[in-house]
Amino acid sequence: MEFNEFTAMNTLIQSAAEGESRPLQVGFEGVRRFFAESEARFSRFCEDSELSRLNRAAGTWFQASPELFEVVQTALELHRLTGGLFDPSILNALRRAGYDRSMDEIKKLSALPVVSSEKWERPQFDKTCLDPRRGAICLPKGVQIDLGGIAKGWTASKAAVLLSTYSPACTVSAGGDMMCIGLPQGQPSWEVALEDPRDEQQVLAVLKIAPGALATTSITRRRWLQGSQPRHHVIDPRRGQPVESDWLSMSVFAPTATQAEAFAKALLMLSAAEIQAFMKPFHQLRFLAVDCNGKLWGTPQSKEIIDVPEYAH
Amino acid sequence: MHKISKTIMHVWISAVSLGGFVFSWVLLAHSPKPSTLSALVAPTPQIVQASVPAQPGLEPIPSLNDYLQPGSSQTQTQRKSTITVQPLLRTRGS
Repeated sequence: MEFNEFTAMNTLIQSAAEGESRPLQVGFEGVRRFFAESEARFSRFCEDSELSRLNRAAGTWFQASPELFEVVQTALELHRLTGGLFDPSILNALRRAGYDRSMDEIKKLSALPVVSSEKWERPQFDKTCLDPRRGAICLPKGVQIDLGGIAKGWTASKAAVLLSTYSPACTVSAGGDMMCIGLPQGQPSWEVALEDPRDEQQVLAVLKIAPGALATTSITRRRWLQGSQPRHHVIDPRRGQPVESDWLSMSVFAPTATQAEAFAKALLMLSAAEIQAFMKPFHQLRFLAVDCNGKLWGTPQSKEIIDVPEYAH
Repeated sequence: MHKISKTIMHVWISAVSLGGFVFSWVLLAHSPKPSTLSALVAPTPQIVQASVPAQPGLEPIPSLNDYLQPGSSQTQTQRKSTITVQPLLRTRGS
């Protein structure tokens, strides 16, 4: 197994693949280039990015690239599937919470200024129109979208498919949102360490992942102070504020990385009882929630994706 | 004759008792020790459940922490050795 790491889209990108070294290096370089292209296309911090141009064109038709069209179309489907809990049209709320510049810049500041709190009027992302024939998108007037998480998942998925042309077993992870293709030789699953959201040096569990996707969303990463108030990047679209969650992190295993990302965000906004009802139709998904004590919670099916240490038997 | 057989009986009983004692002592000395890992086994699930707030509808899932005994001098060493065998791939909040 060969490993490759670099930073893109403001996060750590990790690739692992089995196969001959030389072709794999070509594959890893392809992954790096693909992430660079995605970063340029989907960044909301770059005025020239295609996403920024789409946001400026809200209220009119925008001729999109096939890549942007696919991500927005997927986001719209997942928005509907999660009953609106996954909602990329929270960009104005993110800016209001202070996340109006890259995390690297935020980290340099001790605290961000408080912005006057106007009443939150929820944007109507579900009214977005798509024209598949022309590849055009029309965001409703005033709707501004942030594709941060879903774009990372989408890019990781596509990059894994790209890498799989050089390797029968490979995985690409963007900050822990990962897509696994095939299985390592002689292994029944991919092993992934689940970090403790309270201390990134510690590991809570080893997850056993079949080919598919895994995503984790946490409210302990990407935090900052706005005035004296602690803020984080996961916005509850119903209130337009950082989510007040029972959970520190939520991990979801799903067939695709975009699904895993969207459902991880959605579940983070729900209580334990709500999660149980919400998950009933989604038999293929598995999740693990981490509470404020670092305890793991799930359903009996959740145990399918976790390894129990041998000495516990 | 009667006295001789009594003496032989006493010697025989003493020898058998001593031999039994020595045999048992050797047997115990060479028997397998209790596993040091058993000290790391988690508290019972009931204790785990009682020590955390209830999450109605969901059930607690064992984590690595549940298999480490808090306060044990071996905890940190064991934890480190556990982590070193773990994979390089990690998932965290993005």
